[in-house]
Amino acid sequence: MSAVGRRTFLKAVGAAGAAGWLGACSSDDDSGGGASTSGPLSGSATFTTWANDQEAAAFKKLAADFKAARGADIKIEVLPYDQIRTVVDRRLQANEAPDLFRVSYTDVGSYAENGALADLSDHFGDSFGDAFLPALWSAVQSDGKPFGVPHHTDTSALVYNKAHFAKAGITSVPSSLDQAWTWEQFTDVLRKLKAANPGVSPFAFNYQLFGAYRWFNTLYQAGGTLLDDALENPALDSAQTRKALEFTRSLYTEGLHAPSVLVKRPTYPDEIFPTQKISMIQAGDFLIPSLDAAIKDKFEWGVTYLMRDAGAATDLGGNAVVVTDGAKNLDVAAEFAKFLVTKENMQAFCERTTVLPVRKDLADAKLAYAARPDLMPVFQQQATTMPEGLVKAATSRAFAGINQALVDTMDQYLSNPSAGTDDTVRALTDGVQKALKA
Amino acid sequence: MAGRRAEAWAGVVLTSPALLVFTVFMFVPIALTFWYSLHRYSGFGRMRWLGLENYRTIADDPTFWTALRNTAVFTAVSVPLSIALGLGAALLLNRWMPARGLLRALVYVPVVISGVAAGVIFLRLFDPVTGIGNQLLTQAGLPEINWQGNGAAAMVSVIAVTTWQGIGFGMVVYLAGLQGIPREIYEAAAVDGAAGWRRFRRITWPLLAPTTFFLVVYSIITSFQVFDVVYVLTRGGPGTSTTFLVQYAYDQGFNQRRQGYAAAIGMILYVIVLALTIVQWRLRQRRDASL
Repeated sequence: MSAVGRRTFLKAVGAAGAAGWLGACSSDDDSGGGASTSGPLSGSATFTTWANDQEAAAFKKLAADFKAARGADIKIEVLPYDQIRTVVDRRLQANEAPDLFRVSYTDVGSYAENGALADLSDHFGDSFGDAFLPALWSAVQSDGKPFGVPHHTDTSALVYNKAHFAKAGITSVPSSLDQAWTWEQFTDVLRKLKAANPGVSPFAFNYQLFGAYRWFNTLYQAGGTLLDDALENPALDSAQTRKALEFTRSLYTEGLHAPSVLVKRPTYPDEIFPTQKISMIQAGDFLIPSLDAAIKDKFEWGVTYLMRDAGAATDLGGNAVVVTDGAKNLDVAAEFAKFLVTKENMQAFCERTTVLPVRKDLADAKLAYAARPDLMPVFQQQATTMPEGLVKAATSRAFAGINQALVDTMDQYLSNPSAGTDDTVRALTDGVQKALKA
Repeated sequence: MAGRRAEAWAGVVLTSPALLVFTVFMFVPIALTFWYSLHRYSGFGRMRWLGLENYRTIADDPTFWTALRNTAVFTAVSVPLSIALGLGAALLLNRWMPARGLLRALVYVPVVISGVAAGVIFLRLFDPVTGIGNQLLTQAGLPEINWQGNGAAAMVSVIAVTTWQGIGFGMVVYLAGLQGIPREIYEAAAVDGAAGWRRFRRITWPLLAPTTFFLVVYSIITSFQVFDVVYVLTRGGPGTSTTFLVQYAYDQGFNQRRQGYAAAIGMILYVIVLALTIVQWRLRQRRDASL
């Protein structure tokens, strides 16, 4: 990996939280930066998560290691990604919630403010959070109280089918961030792909449902901004937003984007890409193992940088692990959460599942990724383009509602060439405003 | 006197199991739904009293009105379509023909397929990129249809799937109705020279009126409650093109964690269905009285 790239990325994420963390001491304590207990534990706890095969295996290994180290059982319950939020909510309603569950950074705030999560201050100690990137540590807190641990982060880049590119006469792709395609160059590439590969959609975005916020990549590439500096008001009423919207829709109207891949429907481009019905997708690094397993030797594929306009931009993804307020075994749950994010365990999880660590002391570590390690440097470098404003917004309490505003609005615009851009900007602004006030 | 009291007690005892079931599964949930609709409630955590605020918000919510309009359009198209096709299938399969049992079973099979399974099947068929539907259209020289990206096409796809599922039920109910019509009436009609379309219009259709009434009421209620197929096939999209009332209530209650608001939508749906049923019931009574 590129150490410089990772440092720059960490600066970008770190800048959104408490300032000056780079000067802080990295802790050698594997449990984080604070007080740790290591005595034997009894009983068991249930950890509910979604997971691909690699993630499920990694979590099971960590549970087995925890059992060996501390004596307590962790039952791993894997649910489909689309359903986990609803299932966890209903179990919270019925007072049958799991002890811990995996949750995106964008959803922690909403659980915390509804009183669903346990305050782990006593379990973590004052300096525990110093071990993590400030923005992501703040994402698992509410009113200064920690409710879980930041587990990893991830980001998007362009995944492409090399055979389709060769057929279109595209012999090279950008090999560094500063060579990333401009929107015009990117559109030309898609036109060539369309002409050379009939019956195949040239491209698809990965902005479905809970990932709708990934459209903000395009907004920030255009130089737009989601919220004002104080994160209190929408800043979407701008020429940049209109440009980003019109660029996105033009891909549909020109037939350059897979028509069935919209925002509201769970048609995920990474599920279609292995069928060779789409030549290029915007995809997260966490998908590399499943893409690798699905594609096998069917065709060669690679990764390059996201397109840029006024600038480059990508999204902050990733997940936390939180402990529920009604956890039947709070001690075991809290200790397992800490166990997941020790330096050694976070590194092992990231290597196995191709995601990025969130501990400061892994900033310079050379990670040996299990699947397609050749591709990860692109994602790591791309991660340095996470806009500070977007990172701040993505870790705010209102972000789940902001994401929903996109889900409610974007399909109307993208699927209807006559839908007004101004109307869409207004609808988005209203939706974001509503989320901020909720 | 003692006999009457014993009779009254017997009535209470005999109806109590049904009353208990209705209380637990109908009256209590309806009362709770109304109670939730008066609160702001995420599904967990504290409830906050809002009074009728949720209902006032609904009145100004354009998506609710879109969902109501979509539900009405869906009902207006899918109910007559599935009833007409069910009647057609019943008339066809009520007469003797080879493999009649097999054909009846084939028409009925979609009824026993769960909405989710049907949704998944048609999701694959209608997928504009990988679906066989567009491949067949292309091979036939017809333009491809963006089934899930175009609002009208998405609505057509939902209506097609629900109609496909509804034909078998209509057929079975109409078959029962047809077999309840005395043969003597047809024989008398034949003596009078009535046949074909006239026989259908003057005998079959009027005598099937109770069956049709039942099917219309039942189909309208189920149409207003349609959810599973929509959830799997379109999720209410693109945009709100196929967002129906139940889908919208689900989205508000479970995705946006506005369970009080979703309960208010549910109460409105309940009132609409109740009103439609009462209107149809009254029309039916008036019609029966005039016969």
